Amino acid sequence: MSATDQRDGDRSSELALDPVVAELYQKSNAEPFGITSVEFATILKEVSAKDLPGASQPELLDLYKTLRVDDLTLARACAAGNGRAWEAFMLRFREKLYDIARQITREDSAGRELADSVYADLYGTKTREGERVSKLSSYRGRGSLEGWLRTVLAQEYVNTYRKQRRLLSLDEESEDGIQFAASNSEAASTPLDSRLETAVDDVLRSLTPEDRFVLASYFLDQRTLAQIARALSVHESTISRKIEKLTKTIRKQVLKNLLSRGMSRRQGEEALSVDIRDLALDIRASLAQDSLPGAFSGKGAKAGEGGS
Amino acid sequence: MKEGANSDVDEIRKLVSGRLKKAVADGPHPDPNLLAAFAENALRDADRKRLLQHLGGCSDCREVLYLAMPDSAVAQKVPSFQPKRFSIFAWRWGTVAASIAIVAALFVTARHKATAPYLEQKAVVVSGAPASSQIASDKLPSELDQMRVSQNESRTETRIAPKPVPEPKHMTAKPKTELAFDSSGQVHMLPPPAQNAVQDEGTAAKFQNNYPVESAKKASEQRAKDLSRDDRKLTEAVEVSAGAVQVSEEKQTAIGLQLQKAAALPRAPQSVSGYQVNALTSVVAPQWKLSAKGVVQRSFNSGTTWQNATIAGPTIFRVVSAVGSDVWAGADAGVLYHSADSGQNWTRIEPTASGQKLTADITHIEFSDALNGTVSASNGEVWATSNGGQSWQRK
Repeated sequence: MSATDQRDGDRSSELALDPVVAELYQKSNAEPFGITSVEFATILKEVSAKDLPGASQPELLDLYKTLRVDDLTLARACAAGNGRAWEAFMLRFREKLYDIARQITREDSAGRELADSVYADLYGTKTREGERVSKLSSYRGRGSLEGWLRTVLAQEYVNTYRKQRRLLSLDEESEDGIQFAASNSEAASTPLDSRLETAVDDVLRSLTPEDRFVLASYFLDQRTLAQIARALSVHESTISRKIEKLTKTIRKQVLKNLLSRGMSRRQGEEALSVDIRDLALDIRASLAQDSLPGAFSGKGAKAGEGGS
Repeated sequence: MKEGANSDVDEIRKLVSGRLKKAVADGPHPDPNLLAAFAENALRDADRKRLLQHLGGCSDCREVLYLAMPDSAVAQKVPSFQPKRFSIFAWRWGTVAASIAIVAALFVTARHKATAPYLEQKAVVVSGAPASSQIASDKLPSELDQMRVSQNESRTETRIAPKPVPEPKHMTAKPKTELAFDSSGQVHMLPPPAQNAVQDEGTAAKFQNNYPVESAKKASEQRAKDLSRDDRKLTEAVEVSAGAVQVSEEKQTAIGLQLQKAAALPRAPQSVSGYQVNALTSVVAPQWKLSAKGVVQRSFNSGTTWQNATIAGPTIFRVVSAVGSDVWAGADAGVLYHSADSGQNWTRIEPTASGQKLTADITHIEFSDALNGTVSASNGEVWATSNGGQSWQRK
């Protein structure tokens, strides 16, 4: 054992003695799965190192209190190959996993295929340094294990769908009529008033992250008010009012911006009501530009590979 | 959304949707832990803000987020860092809710006062009733009148014959207390002063109490005499909650002990009418779930605490389903149990159709009511019943 390992072990033992951690250990039901209090403390340290690096002790304890420790120990015990844990996992999630997969794919056979594929990852078909690596070891207890499984399934589905879309054969493209689709570059190449572009970009930048998320979900993704409301844990009437307010604000601010750039009110109104086919505003880029590189632990990984 | 705002929305929609065909934004994606926590509203403010910044510009992550959302509107309860926001809207609805609650409370209070005399009569019957009789429950006055007509004298005689209670042999000091019924129908222990006369307004009983149970018995006898004189008084023991609870001998003894304890206490008054309240509230339908170890559990307090249901054998159950007081629990190899009384008693059910039994693992149980339901098995079979499990059809 190296000196670093020894130090880490000592810190875990110290952490395990903390009353909050001891209480969480009791709550986690980790003992039947063969996880000791020191191992439990080590797991908590791993979680905090990933999600709250360099935090103070009170901040760490606050984070630990919000973790789903029962799910966390179950997942880690499964990842470690504990038979009893796998039995409990299968009992709780076997059917649920297939149900969720069916719900995501909206098709029975595709759902089963998706669930089987994720099951293989959860069990761990890959090895690292001779040891089986289970995807469950990347679960950190921030949300429920069921929610995490849902997200993993959704990511796998999106990745699979993207792969299939990339591998579309020429015949399939012909069937889909893709060759007749309008070229994307056409609109982009149309010369436009740069003042309108800049004005819209400025206004979108000034919105809060939540407003931009609502705008993107509603206008870009065509999500329903209910879906957006559920994602943000608010009532859908709140989203309805927000969108109404946002559209008014954007219109007003863009117009104001155009006036400040030398346009008359009439010119501004005309610019705003111009047909979309004449616009080349990079609103997606405007919406995306505030994404902070390195803000998450994925380090630039693609969806479905991030952060685990 | 209002009609007048539609043109504005369309303009903005055109601005935004025109960019759908643009290339996907690059950048770091959040891992499933953060997306799951976000969906469950369990992220800290700072994490949530950063995640929203990313989601606003990443259609892939938004797609994953929305795909991973459960269909049902039932949100999972998890610890949240989100501060509660109080808007005018919330206050407005809060005021409406509070008004409804006050009206409901007034209604309940008024109803309680209206039924108080009947509760008083029940207390007497419970304390002195024989083992085979049933506890009284709330009945409307009109119902009681009907019962009086159909069931009177003979029942009165049989009911009021109290079971002899053994005299205490080693009691050195007998409490000088007295039981009395007040206008709300509760029995009170009076302190031992000499002036034991109680204002009973013609309905309450007066006791000479060498021993509380004996006192209750005497009160019951006195009560029965009063009732037999006046046939307009209630003389019938009626059921609690459709006969769900019966008084056993043990229970009567327990009531006696309760009275005894109450008599031994120096303070007064002591109410014993809580028995009726317990009897009425104990029939609330429980919630059901399976533990991680496959044990069927129920909760009578909205999931605050859970207790294991006792079903024969150490079976690991896979699924549990409840409709009212009917509960179904399924396990491997076609093991199916049914309880018609909220888990008090369980019966093994063996679904059989055309001479063939259900032997596969039960994966899903769904009942629309107490009679109609289906049981799905791991081999794809679906077994249906339309008579609460007495006969089955295999689909």
